[in-house]
Amino acid sequence: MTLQRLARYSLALMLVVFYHLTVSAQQHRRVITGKVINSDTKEPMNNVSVTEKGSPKGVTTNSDGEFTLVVPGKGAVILSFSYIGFDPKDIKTISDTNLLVSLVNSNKKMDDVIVIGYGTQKRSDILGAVATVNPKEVQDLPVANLSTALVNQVPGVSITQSAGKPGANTTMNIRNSVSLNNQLTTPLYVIDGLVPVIGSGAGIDPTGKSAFDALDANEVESITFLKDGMATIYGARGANGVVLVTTKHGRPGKPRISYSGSYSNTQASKIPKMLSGYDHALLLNNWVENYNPNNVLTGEIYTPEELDTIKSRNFDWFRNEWIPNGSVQRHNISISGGTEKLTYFAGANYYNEIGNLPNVVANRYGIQLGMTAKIIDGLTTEVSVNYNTGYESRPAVKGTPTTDQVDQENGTISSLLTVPKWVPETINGLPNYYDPIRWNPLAAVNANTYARDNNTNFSLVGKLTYQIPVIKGLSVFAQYGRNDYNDYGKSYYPPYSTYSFTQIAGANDHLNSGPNVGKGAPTGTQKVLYNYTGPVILKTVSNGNQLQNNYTGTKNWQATEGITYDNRFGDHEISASLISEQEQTTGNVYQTSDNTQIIPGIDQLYGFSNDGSNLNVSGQTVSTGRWSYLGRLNYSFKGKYLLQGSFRDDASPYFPVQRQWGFFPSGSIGWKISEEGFFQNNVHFLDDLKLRFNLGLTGNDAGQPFGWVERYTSNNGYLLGGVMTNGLATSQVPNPDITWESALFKDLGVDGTFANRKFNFSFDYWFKHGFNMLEPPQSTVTNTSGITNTASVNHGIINSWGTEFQLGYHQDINKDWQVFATVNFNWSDNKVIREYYNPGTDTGYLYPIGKRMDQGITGYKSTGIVRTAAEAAAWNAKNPNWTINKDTLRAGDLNFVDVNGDGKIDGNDQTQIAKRSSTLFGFGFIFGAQWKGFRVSTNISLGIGGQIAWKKVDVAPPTKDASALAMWKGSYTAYRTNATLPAIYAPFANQVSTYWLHSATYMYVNNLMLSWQVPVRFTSTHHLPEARFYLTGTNLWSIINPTPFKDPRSNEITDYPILRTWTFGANISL
Amino acid sequence: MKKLIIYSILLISLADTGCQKKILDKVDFNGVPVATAWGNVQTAQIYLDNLYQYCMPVYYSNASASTVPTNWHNISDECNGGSNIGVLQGNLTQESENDFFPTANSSWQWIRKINILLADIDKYGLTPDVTAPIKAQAYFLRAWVYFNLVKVYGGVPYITKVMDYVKDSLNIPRNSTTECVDSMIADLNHCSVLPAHWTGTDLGRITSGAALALKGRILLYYASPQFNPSGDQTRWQMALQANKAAYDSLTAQGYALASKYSRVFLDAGSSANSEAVIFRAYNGSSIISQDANNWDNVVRPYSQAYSGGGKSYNPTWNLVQAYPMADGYAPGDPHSKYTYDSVRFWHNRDPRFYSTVVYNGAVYGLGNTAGRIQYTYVGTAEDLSAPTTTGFYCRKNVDTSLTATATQFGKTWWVEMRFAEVMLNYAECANATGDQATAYTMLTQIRKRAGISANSDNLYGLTAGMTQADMETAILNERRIEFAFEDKRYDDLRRTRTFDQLNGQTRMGFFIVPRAPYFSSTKASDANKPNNIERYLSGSTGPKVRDTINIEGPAYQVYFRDSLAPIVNEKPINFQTTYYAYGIPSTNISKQPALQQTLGWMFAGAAGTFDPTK
Repeated sequence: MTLQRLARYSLALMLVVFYHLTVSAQQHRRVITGKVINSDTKEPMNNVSVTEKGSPKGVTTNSDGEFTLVVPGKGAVILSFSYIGFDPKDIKTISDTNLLVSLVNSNKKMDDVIVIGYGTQKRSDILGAVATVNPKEVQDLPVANLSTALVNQVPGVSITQSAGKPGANTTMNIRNSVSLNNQLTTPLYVIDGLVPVIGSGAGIDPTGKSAFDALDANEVESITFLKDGMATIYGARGANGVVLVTTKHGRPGKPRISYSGSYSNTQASKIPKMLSGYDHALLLNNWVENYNPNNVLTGEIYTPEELDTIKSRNFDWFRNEWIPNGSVQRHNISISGGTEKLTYFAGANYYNEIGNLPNVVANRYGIQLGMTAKIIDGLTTEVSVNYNTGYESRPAVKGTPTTDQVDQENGTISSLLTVPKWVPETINGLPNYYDPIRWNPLAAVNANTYARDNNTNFSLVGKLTYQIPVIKGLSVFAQYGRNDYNDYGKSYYPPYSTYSFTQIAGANDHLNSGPNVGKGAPTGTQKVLYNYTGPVILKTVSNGNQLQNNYTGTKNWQATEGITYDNRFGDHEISASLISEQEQTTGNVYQTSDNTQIIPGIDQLYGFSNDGSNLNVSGQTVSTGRWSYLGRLNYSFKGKYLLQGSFRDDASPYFPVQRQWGFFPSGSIGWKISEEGFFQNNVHFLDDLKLRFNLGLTGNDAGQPFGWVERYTSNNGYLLGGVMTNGLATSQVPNPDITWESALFKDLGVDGTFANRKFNFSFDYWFKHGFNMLEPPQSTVTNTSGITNTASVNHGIINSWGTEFQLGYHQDINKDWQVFATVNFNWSDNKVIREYYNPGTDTGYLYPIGKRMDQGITGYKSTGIVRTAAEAAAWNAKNPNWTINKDTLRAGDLNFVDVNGDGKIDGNDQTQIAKRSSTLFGFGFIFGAQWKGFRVSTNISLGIGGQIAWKKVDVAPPTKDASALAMWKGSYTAYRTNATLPAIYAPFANQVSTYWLHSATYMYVNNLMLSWQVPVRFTSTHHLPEARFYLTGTNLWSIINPTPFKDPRSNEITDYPILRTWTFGANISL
Repeated sequence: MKKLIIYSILLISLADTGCQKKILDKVDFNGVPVATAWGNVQTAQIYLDNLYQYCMPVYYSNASASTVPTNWHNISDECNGGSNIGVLQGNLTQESENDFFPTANSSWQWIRKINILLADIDKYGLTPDVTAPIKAQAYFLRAWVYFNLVKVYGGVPYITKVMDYVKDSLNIPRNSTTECVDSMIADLNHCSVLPAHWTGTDLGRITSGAALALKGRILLYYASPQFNPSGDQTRWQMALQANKAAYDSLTAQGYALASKYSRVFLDAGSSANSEAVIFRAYNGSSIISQDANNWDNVVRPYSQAYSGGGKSYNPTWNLVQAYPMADGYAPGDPHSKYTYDSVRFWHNRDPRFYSTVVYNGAVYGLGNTAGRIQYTYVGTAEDLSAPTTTGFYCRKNVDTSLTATATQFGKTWWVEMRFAEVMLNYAECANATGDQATAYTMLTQIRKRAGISANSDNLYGLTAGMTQADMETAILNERRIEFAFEDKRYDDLRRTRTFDQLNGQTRMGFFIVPRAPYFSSTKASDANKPNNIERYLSGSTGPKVRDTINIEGPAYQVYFRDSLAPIVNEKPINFQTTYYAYGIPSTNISKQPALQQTLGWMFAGAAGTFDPTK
């Protein structure tokens, strides 16, 4: 086409348009009036766009939902109504006045507008794996972290919570993101366009997850997940996917005040059942009788008299300390509304959780403000402010007087569960010092020992958008956001008193242990029964004897400026944006600890030793920044052929200067087949069908800042002339070439609806090529080089792939009945293409190359329980050097396969006993129904296939000092040779072996929600506020549990139990 | 208004270029940049101090705090236990030698850090007069760390540059033992710039004399049968010269034997101590584990220690027998004027015996309690939880002033090299090169200081006119006694290739047992039985029956009998000749195939080819 011809066509086109406009203007005119209401709430809707179909002219409704539109011509006209978040509606009308139009909220429908990062897009035009969650669906769940509520909501997004402690962390992982070096696999969280980078301990959490978790679902407008190359728009931070959140800014309408409040009862979903003292003692007796046939240790036997005593005493430390009913309270109050010019939202929330162990509490309160204002024509400003502050406290326990164990919750649970049931926690009101655990939980709690954390986060985002009037569709914007985070942690570990009691002498003073019993026999002093009157010995538990004060503060700002252009030229629709973004974060950490309490009971620094050698102070500053340019172009032809391209050029000071900049492009194509004539004419079952393909490059720069720098850090000096000097040491061997990890995403997807849009589905096949993955080269570095603590190398290559499928169903059976369901399916796998591995593992199952990262389960191959002494003797005769962990085979032992053929069983006989250590694929189900105001729904997880091995800690057999799971009651004894469990003395009994392998298939009910909306007819006629009441249960039942002795979601029995909650709540709106 | 906004946006775009550098030019606050580290004498100095902290030897009872391979080299016939019993019982595999190439905190890591100092210290503006003494100390530490590797394995890769894991090939072969020794000597020769003594806040640094003494020790090892089984005299001549030089120059610098044998370590911190040549200070601090020795806590009886005492470093009967009588003659030697008493074996022994060994009934004033009696008999009530395994406790270098709870914070210095060793090294080299006269001179001085009587021949119990072989035996026994519990016995046995001569012997205990009808019991039901020696004479505190027994009188044998028996569960010594140079763990050779396996050891089914004597 020559330029001349182009000019000619353009001129002709303009003439035609001009003619059309002038001519139509002279024709008939008429005025149509009407009102638009929300189909759910029947409330008038402000700011709804009303146009005559095909005409560019239009009006918007006022705050009473009313509109007046002047249209040309006579007869029937078609009016189009549209509003963000609602299904657009076309009405053919011949009447002119009092039209009543109700718009249907389009959440989860195909054509809402969704946030995709630096912009929005109609769902039907989306060209990648982008999923959304409507916060309304999860706002009734009593969760401490927003992440926890999102279980099963999105295919390919896995959410795991391994302990039930108030405030316990939840991890989120999109599409099975993997790392070779414990790099972050957390997605990036963007809240109102800002990544709220916050401090965490001595470093920076660059992902914004903590700020996301602190949000209240009641105050969130939308949550979007970018799972594939669509995340490219976040460049060097997009490799693990992106979670986008917008907060509420209010909608036009009269002020609306809402209150929602709930109270939850929390209980352990499953408390591991341990042996009774009597059963425990019987097992120990059996051990002595059968294991020591020479009667070396007859003194170990629990005599009938003592067994009787034990039988009458069942001291359960766990039950003593565990509070059966904990609670969660949530309150949220908000006001929102606005006019065409200004909308606003203001909310306040409060969360309080009282745990099931003494002094375990968490609470949080926050304020969320949002406002959108049209200052002058074309100039819009949006402001969001969030302030929240959280508090957690729990008793802090630093174990024994000699070896201070790591301060951790499961140390407490473990002690409570495993103390033998004949040991009282208190005697005559005095806390008992039980030597094997060397502390007493009750005394610890009474000593007011605690670990507390207070954090406060403030964030503010302001955005100014200006639609430049002279060029249609062109607008510019500038946004500034900042986030301030402060965290103050305090831990108080005072020493406290416990008492050691003399034991009853018993029949012949035999309750003291003798010398080591033999294989597997624990040493130590065994105290069974207690003299209630005898002398007591004060035992002071040092409990760390320390006070810690830690402070972290982070300031982060981000500025974004851009220019966008949206326009339609006939069949061509274009939208483009070009953006620049800057960000800077500074964090400060200050930590102190002081040892040796001087003034008892004072949890202040002055209560501790003034001697400088007891005081430890450290602190540092971290600082980072980022500079980015990004752009995106969307093009659609006739609304059915779609193209999208984007790029981001990202720079980060974490890397050497010549490697600071990275370029991340992406491209997508899509085809709405259902818009084609041939499809509409021939395919009737399907209503919508879209094919899409997306390719994008993303990065992950979260790990190892400044890995290229030779770094000298403070270290120990030397004692010279009686004075301790300072020291300096190199702390890492740098890699001058270090840069971000990269991932190339490919995603092929199909979206559609069928059966009159009752069903919608979305299917994705994805492939992710992770390369330049950071990993330490340590396994290839020779020891003689002296190189330790190497910075990672961009070396690893891992391909991952998988499919996701979501099927949604929503049907209005009649005007009262609705049913709905969602099924998510999820399968993924991966393969290591390149990875460092230890020399010596270049053969066999440990060789990683060409295999999936999950190397399955390593353990022993068990051949089962040896049932009789004769069987053991025969085996030993045939295999004269046969030992298991250096002991000869006996009846009651588990026998194993001698994998390396050296005639004995030891650590070298471990091999791969299962190909995978998790389920093969998983489903998430959400079912529900609504009848008038009643609604019920449930959320169920199902994982299928694969194997798991019961954990060593979980299946540890009872010993003289520690109890064990009640299932050991049925273990092997001379009188119970057909037992299902080996004898408690069997060597390697609880080692990972095929004996403990079980199917990993699980199914459990995550939650069940019932609610009742008081009929609007009733409330409005009685002038009552709108009200909704609900009853919600979480972590309810395990339908298929691969670990029947504990909740399948908990990691080990020694973790704080997963909690089942029942919540009653109400939402009331004026 | 419109204009304002448009201009604002333009301005923001323009400002970009200006502050971009500011945003992207960030400092890593996690550490000091390299130019700062080596641009200041203070930072260079504290870098060196950190090397001292981890390279200098520690109490071997606290070997985990150390980086040099001393972990399981505390095993010998001196005391019970030991970290790797496989050495003694002949079932050692190279894979159990996890202290040779541990991945973290290994000797090699410190060699690398020393090399970083040597490579970088002159690059950032410090002048040679400032850097020379720092470098000299670093050279010493490199030689010291290598010596500890070579004495265990023979030659190892002697690395003198900072290797880069991206650019350099890390697959380097072993240097021969000779090459390693040459390199260590070259390193030590840099130390002549160091002063003879350090004072003030430098006390504890390496001196020029320390380097000479270490050089003497290294060349003695190189000349000894471990690496010189053919007795190459040129090696002995080198060793003689080095040790003579060390002896002469230390003497000239004022080093000499301290007056009291029992206080050499305890008084090492005092300026009057002239014997400590290489040492490490302790101050009992609880802040850095390396600054409080755990020695008292480990070697004291259970009831007199903070935790864990009682069962470790119990002297064997084998060691006790090695002590001569007070006039220097062996027990039972007809020349001795003392008659050996097999029941009261402690009578009239070499005074060093009383500084080293605690026996049943000995006065042992722990916790500053004068006249306190130590019981070691089987069933001693207060130590029932962890009784002695041999019937003896080690007394060497125990700070009796510490209370039981303070024993984990010992502040007795460790003396790695004392002048007495310089003398005995010199004596051994002189003897090996035919100069027995010097050997006599040195030995008699040592014995004189020990408190042995001179006797009429002024030989302090030494036999006159000993042959070279007899003299070698005498020197070795002298070292066994003089350096007991100073972490030298294991090395001496290997260095002289005499460890396998102990094969068939068993480490013995000399147990004192209550003689029937007397017994020792803590049971409540036995509390009032008259024959219970744990019975309180009145009430439930105060003196017990046992406290009425005079061990020097006839009652001793009424209440107690003795029993010579192997330590419980002890097997006879079965030291393999291949242990004179250990093999290298397979994983290290897998990573570094250029490392040759030591002769007598295997890798991947192939016999080792590295000859440690070359």
